[in-house]
Amino acid sequence: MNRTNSAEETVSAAIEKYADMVRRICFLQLKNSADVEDVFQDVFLKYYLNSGMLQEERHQKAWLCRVTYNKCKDMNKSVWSRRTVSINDLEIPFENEEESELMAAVLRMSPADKNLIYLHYFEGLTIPEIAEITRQKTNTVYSQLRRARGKLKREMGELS
Amino acid sequence: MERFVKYMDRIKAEDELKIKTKSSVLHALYEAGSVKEAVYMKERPADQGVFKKRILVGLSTIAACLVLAIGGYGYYSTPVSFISFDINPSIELGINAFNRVVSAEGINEDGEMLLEHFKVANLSPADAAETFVREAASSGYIAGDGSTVIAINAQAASEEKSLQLQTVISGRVETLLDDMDTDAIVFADTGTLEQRKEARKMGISAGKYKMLSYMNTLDPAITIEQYRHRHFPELIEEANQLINQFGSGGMQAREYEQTRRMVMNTAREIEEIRRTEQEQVRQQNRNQSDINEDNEQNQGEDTESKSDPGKYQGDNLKNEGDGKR
Repeated sequence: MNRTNSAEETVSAAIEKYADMVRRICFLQLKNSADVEDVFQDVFLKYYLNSGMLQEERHQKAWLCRVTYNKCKDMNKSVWSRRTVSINDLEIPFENEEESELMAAVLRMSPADKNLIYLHYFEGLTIPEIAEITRQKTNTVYSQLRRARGKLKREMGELS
Repeated sequence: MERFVKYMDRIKAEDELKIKTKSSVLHALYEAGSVKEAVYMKERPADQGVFKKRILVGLSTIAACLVLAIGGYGYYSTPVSFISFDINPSIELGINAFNRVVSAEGINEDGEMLLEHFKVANLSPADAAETFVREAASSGYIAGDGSTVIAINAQAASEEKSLQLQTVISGRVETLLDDMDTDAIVFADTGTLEQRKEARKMGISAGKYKMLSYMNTLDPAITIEQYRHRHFPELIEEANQLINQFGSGGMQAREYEQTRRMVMNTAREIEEIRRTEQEQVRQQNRNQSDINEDNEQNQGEDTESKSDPGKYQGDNLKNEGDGKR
């Protein structure tokens, strides 16, 4: 297989496999579709350039989670970042009011807390796995997750 | 959290987004020479206008050659904007009208020594910044645990150009830190060419000069001479304390608005890192004392059983008696 086909196949395969995960992280961290496009292009280009050292799936996933989150952080810091949109402009409709309230509460959390909640509850990663991705000590991740969960519970409790 | 999972499960990457991404990535690889034209052309959507872009690039190259021929080397080698970096090595890069680095100067001894290890002439500012940060990291100037501050300051003819330059540079540095799996805080600000001139007269970087000028607006007792040798993290913490004490800094508030915001954000990050480290130490101590307690208890139980074997024998006899009844 020559290098040309390999590049196209690597990029296509990565996008097919991980685009939904990257999209979810962008959904939680970014505020408009233009930023999402920028992040996608940046992340998958870097993925291709680093694909040689990302052989196992769990490494690929961990790497993508970290790089996507960091890229979203950069976008939010940048002075060129576009204005926010309200939650009512989001494309995914809610099934009921509880769902809408829960997602609104999650989206109000800090970027780091949202990331933690997503990695633990949706991706099913353990605390040590998350610690590896976020480059923190396990105890720190444990404390942060406990605090984030507590905040969410309190907020949902106040709403109900 | 079931509702959260259910909702997030419904979020998928749009087909158009995937197609656009694939096309852009292959385009970028093609531009870098990594992917043959045939593959790229197959993927390129009709409206990207690559041919137009390539013609424009060709024209600008011709224009540059003409300028060189007519205006001479002097014009090419004259910097029109500058970027200063303060990690501890402190350096300044000079950039010409063609967006190429044409000068590199160490502002302190560490900066001078570091510049001897690499060349940045004719690189783009972003490539030069990357080279510098890589070199600083491999020489041990970046701790990697998030405690190092990389202060970047861009100075150009207009505020808009300074901001553009600073955004490009700081973006590249952040990306590089991700790639290197290294944590550091990027403190990015802009300055004027006038400030840069004053800074160089005093032998400090434009970034440090701007920070100290800002601190002076908050507390006139602060002079550049007093603080010129302090490192950026200390200056940031001191500035943050002054902000808490004195507020917006009076008449020059608008000029220093970005500086103020960066100081507050960075001071928060530094505090967060410090708190996390302290919590880790406390947790480790708690774990250690739990382990010690367990060990003591276990030892205590062992000691008890060894010193009074009769106790258990007596209990057994009692039970046997009960069983016979």
